[in-house]
Amino acid sequence: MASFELINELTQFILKESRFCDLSLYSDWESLWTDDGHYWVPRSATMDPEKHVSHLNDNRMRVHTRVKALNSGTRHSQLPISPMSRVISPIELEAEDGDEYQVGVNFNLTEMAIQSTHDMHIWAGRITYQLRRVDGELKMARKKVVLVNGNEPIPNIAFLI
Amino acid sequence: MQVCPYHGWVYDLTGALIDVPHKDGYPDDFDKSEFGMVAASQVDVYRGFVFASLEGSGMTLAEHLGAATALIDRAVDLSPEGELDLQAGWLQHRFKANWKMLPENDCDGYHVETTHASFMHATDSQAMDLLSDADAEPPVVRDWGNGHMEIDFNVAYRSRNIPFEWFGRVPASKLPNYTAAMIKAYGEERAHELSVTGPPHAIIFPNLFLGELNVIFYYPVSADECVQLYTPMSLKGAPEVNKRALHQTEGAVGPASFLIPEDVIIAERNQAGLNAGGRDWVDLSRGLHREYEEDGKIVSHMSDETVNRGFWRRHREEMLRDHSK
Repeated sequence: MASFELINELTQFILKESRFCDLSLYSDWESLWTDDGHYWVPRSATMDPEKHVSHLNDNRMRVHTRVKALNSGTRHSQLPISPMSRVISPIELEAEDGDEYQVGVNFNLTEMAIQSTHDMHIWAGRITYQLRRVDGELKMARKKVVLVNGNEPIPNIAFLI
Repeated sequence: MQVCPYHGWVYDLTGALIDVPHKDGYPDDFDKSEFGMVAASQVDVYRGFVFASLEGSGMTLAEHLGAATALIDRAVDLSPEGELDLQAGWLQHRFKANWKMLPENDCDGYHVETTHASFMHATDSQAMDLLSDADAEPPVVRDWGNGHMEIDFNVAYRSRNIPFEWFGRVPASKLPNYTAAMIKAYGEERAHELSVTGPPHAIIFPNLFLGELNVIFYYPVSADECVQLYTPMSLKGAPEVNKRALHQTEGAVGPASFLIPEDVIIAERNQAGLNAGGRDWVDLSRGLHREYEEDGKIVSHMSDETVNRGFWRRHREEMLRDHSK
């Protein structure tokens, strides 16, 4: 049974990561990644990232490119940035291996698409994090976001999901 | 066999009605052949692409495609087996603009440096090399007739003669099996030509976009909403290419990619702008004074609206056509 201290530490990390996403704090968010990070939004839970096309399948270098584009001041699809609020469920520590923790949460995200239509978009699904302790600090080695509507026609996901 | 879950009518895979439960409720002369599923009135195939028209187009597929079969050939010939093999699944993107914004946008060379400025800033794109090389043949737009059109980057890649420059400049040494298979299939000279030329960037009227190594198509949901679908243009017999192409697709197209979300936001804003009134026409005259004819096709500077004019001419023809004939 994991200690309350550990669950609390993992929870605080995930809540912070979620807040960075909500507020589009791109560079702060990038600093949470390990050097081998993988940011992945497949179309459904059972997809293979090397066989099936994903909505988003960034290696660490592409995470950096994504942040650079978002910080450029000309990423029209996030100009202005979407006001967002996401609710994160209590966490489930799914697996633990030394300094690595696999953590699952459900989320519900409300996004205002103020760049054009001013429609309110609802996004929901499950996030699986691979968190790793590097020099005593938690970092994100993997973030997999499985949307409930990943295999449907969906609007832009130009923000951090 | 398909069974309707409502009253249990049974159809075979051609759509013919083959059985009806409790037949005694119908007279003896009930003719099942009148109640099959409705077939598209015209279906034809070119190099694996299935074209269908629900009500009939008034022309054969060969007449519709005309010379533009060469654009499809340019894609499919990149496979050493001469076939596409689309196995990666489809990304689906929904947005609130008229579907015709897409063919207008997909072969528009005028918007790239402004709409896609963030991509140019964040990446080291080979397209920039191409455009800044004064010695290279410049890319052009080409109206292939019948509403088919392209931005021809291939002419520029060919003049620079660098294998796979179009494919993110991957060195040929990283694609050894593909290179060998292409030489075996086409011979040394043609294989080299295909490796420097690359895939098309072309619209087949009305809704198929061969966008480099992506196969894309779109359909309207309503006058101001549409859906666009994307898949990597996976080449049969080319796993080395397909592995890279998969991740290029993810970077370039789809709702979370670097390029298309920009086009989508601009299209949605344009859709709102069209409702503003006060101006009845959108100007599409750019390049009229400098376009020229070459091999029976109209060609112009990459940033010219020659291709948009070609699309709209065909669109007008189709809107005026009596489709009952």
